[in-house]
Amino acid sequence: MNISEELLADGVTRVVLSGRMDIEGVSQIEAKFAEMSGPPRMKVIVDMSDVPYMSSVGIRALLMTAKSVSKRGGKFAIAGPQANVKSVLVTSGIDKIIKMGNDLASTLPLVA
Amino acid sequence: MAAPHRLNISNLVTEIRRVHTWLEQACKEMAVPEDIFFKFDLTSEEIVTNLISYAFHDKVSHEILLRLIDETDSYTLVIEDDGTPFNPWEFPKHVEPENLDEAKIGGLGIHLMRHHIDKGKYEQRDGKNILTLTVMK
Repeated sequence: MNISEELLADGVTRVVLSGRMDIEGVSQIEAKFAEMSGPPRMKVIVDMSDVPYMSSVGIRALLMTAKSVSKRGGKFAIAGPQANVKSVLVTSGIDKIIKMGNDLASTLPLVA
Repeated sequence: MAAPHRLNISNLVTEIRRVHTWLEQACKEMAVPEDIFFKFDLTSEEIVTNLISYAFHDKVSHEILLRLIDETDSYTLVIEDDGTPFNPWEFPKHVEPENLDEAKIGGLGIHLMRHHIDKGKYEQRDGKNILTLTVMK
């Protein structure tokens, strides 16, 4: 997997994940993911539009990150999950506890 | 019915990507629709990861055998191992978290597997665990 970070207007950090979010993929980005969503960032959007697949190990990574952002009073949301990834998020009940938008534009208000 | 596609892996985390590569190839050759391929891709990763993490308690190498079978009205993935017996249908039902603070990290793999297949069977035969996962065409 690959990961990159972009600073948007209003102090929003967009973390872009790309590639297959399986056990091997997650192990490649785990450390960077924690760093790029870590303090002092308070508004974090994880852009998943380039992630074609995710298993429970990906959910685990998202949950850990979302928890740590929320613990310091920040806001966290997921943007643009593809159909298969969305199915895994919904089946896990994650869609009810982490905010999610269909694309970046609709996700921005969720961390405002 | 065409001959099943088979793969043998050992109980190492580094083998998990091989399952995906094999499954992708097997599904292509069997003309398995994309949505059914995804279900097997996900369930095989969850099951094999669990086996490698929890089923073996010695230092010896173990084999895990996977077979994909094209049946008249379904596709079936069979996963066989000689680890600790574990029936995934006896695993407690997943409870959806109320909020982010209460959400537990982990324990989702079995739930995802059970949700994405249509029929499943667990058997113990000759010291082996045999998990049969079926998705209807």
